[in-house]
Amino acid sequence: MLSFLVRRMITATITIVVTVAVIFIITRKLGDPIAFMLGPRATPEQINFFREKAGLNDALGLQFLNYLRDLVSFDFGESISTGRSVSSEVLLYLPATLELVTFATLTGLIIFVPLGVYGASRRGSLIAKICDGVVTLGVSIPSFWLGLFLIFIFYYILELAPPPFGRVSGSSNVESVTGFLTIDSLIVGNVSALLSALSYLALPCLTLALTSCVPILKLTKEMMVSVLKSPYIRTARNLGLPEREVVWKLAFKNALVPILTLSAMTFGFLIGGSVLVETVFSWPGIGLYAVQSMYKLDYAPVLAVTIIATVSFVFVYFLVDLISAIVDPRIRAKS
Amino acid sequence: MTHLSRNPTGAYAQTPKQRSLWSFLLWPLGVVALIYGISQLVVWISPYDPERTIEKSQLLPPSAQHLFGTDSNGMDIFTRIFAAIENDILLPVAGVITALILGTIAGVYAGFKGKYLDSLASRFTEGLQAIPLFLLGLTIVAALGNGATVLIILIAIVNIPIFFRLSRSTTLPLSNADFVLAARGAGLSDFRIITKHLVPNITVPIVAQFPISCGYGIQVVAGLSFLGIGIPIPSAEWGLMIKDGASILVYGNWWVSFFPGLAILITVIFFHILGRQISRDYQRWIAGRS
Repeated sequence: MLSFLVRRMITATITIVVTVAVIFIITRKLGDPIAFMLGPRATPEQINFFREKAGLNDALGLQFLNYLRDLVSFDFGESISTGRSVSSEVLLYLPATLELVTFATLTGLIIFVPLGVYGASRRGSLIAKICDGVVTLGVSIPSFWLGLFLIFIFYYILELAPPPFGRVSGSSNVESVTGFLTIDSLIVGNVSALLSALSYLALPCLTLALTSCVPILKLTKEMMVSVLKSPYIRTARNLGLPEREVVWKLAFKNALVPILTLSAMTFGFLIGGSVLVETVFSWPGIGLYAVQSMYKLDYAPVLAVTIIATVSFVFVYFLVDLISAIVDPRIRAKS
Repeated sequence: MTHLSRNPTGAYAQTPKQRSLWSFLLWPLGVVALIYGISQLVVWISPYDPERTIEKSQLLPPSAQHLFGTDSNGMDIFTRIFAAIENDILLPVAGVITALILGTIAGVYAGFKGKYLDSLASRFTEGLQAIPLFLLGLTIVAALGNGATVLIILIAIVNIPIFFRLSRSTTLPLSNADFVLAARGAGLSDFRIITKHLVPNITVPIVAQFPISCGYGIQVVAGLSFLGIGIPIPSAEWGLMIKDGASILVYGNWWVSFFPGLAILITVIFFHILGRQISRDYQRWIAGRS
């Protein structure tokens, strides 16, 4: 187990170094780092000062090492539009993204796992066809467009949803403990704030679930179809066990691990993958922060968010592998 | 010892005359050309200029004069949707073709040569795939500016790992197959073995991936333009058109964003169906051959 852990940590580290190298090359070599970090309105004095400070006159290898050192010490420089340190700003916006992504993945699981299981146990039925249709639609529909029309239907026509701006209605004021508004309002027992936070979460969660979580539906259905074909299921059926028990108690357990693995990976993917939906709903997460900094030609936050999202993804991937290896010794042996 | 190895379709990989990669790509590319031709025809027939505003006709709802209505600048949405095909379909296709060529060459070479080169290239593509797509897009646009070329580069970068992994994993089991050993024994160069014997054997997954990657590329172009960092205004582009209608949607002007989004949806579904059709075609051809 220890050697698996060490090997897996080495590959994860290599992946992170490679991504940082790619981003380094794009921003430092292909693009102009001065314009990149200071914006096009920088004065010559600022440029000279920055050149010295950022060590742009050093050898390229040294520059890269310094760059890595800054990242390890979580130093992403300062935002030129707010003047504050980028890392503190990212930490401010990160909980909103994590809350959105957590609820989106849960929504996806709640909708798609039962749908996939039913679709697989009734092959050729209407539900099975709906499953296939939802998968094709989900991967083809642009998430930002779906989000916009969910707003149009539920906010403009039906007047059920709150306006698509932010995380909670202005009147509810909850002190931040975890940064998750739902949990914070639960801690202080503020029910109206909790309901408000949930109502603001509903549409962006649904949008992400219906677009980014469809692989969960596809996998659930495929896993269940193959598990339901296996001899032990046939035996159970011949023994006269009720179909419900066969499907949920015997077959589903065997499909559960890959489904949970994929859900965790979807979660990791969404941390950096919710940019468009955050923009549509003005959700104050790291994605919107990156986009708005981009509009102000303030690029340090863009870089910071990209690197943090990438590292989070690699980290989640690593955790998933680790947990699967603990649960299933075959995986340990294989790699 | 070596043994007959199976390629992903289940057919035994062998070296008799295979249709080349290009002959399979020919008809999806033909379809793209046809769509482009039709779009140009529609724009030519249409009485409106896709990039010129019509006076006093902002935000007109769909009618007989303006089938899909007009946008906030007073441009005809129907004409613009067809004019946008140039940006929305040709750009992603160009990016994916670039990725297909580079990714497949690298993948086949890595799978054939193996060893350090293989693990190096594999780690590199893994790293590339770990970067979230739209954030990578933001970074690249921040560094290089926006425009058509940058979008093609981005789509190529995103797709190279996909084609690399596909071609590598299909080449790997073939690199010790009998026909490759025979070709080696006959003294053929690596280059010739790769182009004449390996590439023709791995066409299926690659050609089937092609339209799917194009569909994905269409969403990338539209998504970045929706963020305002893809195709610049006043060019016709679906994501840009959705962005135009996004802020006025809550006042009931649904048509401005609705039709361009529908165009994306239909096109991407169409490309998925094309991908499925190509796989089926290939399997039928394999079955008919033996």
